[in-house]
Amino acid sequence: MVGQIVESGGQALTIGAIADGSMIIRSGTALVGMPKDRFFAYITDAYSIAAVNTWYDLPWNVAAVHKTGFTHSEGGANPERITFSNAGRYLISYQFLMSATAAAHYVGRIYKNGTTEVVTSFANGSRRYNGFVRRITIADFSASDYVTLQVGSQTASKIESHDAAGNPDPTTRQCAEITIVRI
Amino acid sequence: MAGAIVESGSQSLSIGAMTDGGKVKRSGSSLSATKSHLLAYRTDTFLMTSASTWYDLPFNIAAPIKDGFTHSDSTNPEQFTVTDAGKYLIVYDVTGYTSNNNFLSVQAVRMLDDGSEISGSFAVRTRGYHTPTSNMFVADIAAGSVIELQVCSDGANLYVEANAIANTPAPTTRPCAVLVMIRID
Repeated sequence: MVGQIVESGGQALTIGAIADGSMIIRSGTALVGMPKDRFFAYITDAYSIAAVNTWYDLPWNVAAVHKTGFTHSEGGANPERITFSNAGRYLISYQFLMSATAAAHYVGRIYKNGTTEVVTSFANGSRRYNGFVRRITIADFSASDYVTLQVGSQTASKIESHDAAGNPDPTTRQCAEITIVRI
Repeated sequence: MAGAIVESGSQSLSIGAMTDGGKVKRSGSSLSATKSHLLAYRTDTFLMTSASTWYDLPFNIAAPIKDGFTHSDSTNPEQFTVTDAGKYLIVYDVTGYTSNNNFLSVQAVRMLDDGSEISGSFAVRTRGYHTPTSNMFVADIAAGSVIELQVCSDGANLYVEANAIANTPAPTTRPCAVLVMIRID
């Protein structure tokens, strides 16, 4: 029968839409292409944290390097928002670097729809002048959900990649990055 | 032919069991589809009473995402049993703290597969109060293997803990250990 394959158990699986280059997954009684949803963005400009004990949405005010299955406007009203096009389960990773005039703790988390913290997305960094905060987690999202990376510090300071004397320079010195991949 | 497809080279591939949502892959002479991934975490303080001793870290919160793994948050909560053999991407973050004696400790973490250390899983952190110990690696794991995360410190009576830090905004959930495992092959 055209358009079907049959499992060893005898169940027929319809061959659904499969975009060229897609991995194939089973979805109910069909085989379909897995959406190639992925997002990666970074910033190189320093971001100031003006007040202590306060969450700030970090703006991704540069064009995303990879943006398939997401919407994001680096020049629009909400460059901090990354919006999912498709419901699914996603791997999320973030990292940001800090630069303070005194040793300080920084914290970060992924916030959904401006109301809900993604479980296990919270992380804190060690008390350092030039340390980092990072986390990798998994979460389910619905279509049209959006996330922001929220950052905070116990001192007025900056998200910044410190150019330490004596270190060789990279080509790109990012101070924050976020990666989201549908799994 | 029912239950089979034919390669361009005319080799027949049988269609095996396919988990809903699973990625389809060739395995020998058949196609199958599986998916396995896990997210687990811990929020309670964990005391390491002795220095230079490995402790199994219990994840005594029900894993919010658990597909292709068996885990109990009450019986042997340090154990994760893998359902399907495969190659797995594994990531952990463990936060240590030394509130009891202001001792700047060095802490280390590793992962066991049926009691043996997984090569490349060991990581040590910078000496500090809240510094996380983190690692990401890939390991081949057999079906039925029991996976455990072990922690240790260079001082007695130190903690795996993510305590509140003055003047930082509070989260909804404050995990002190997070474990992610995803089957990639």
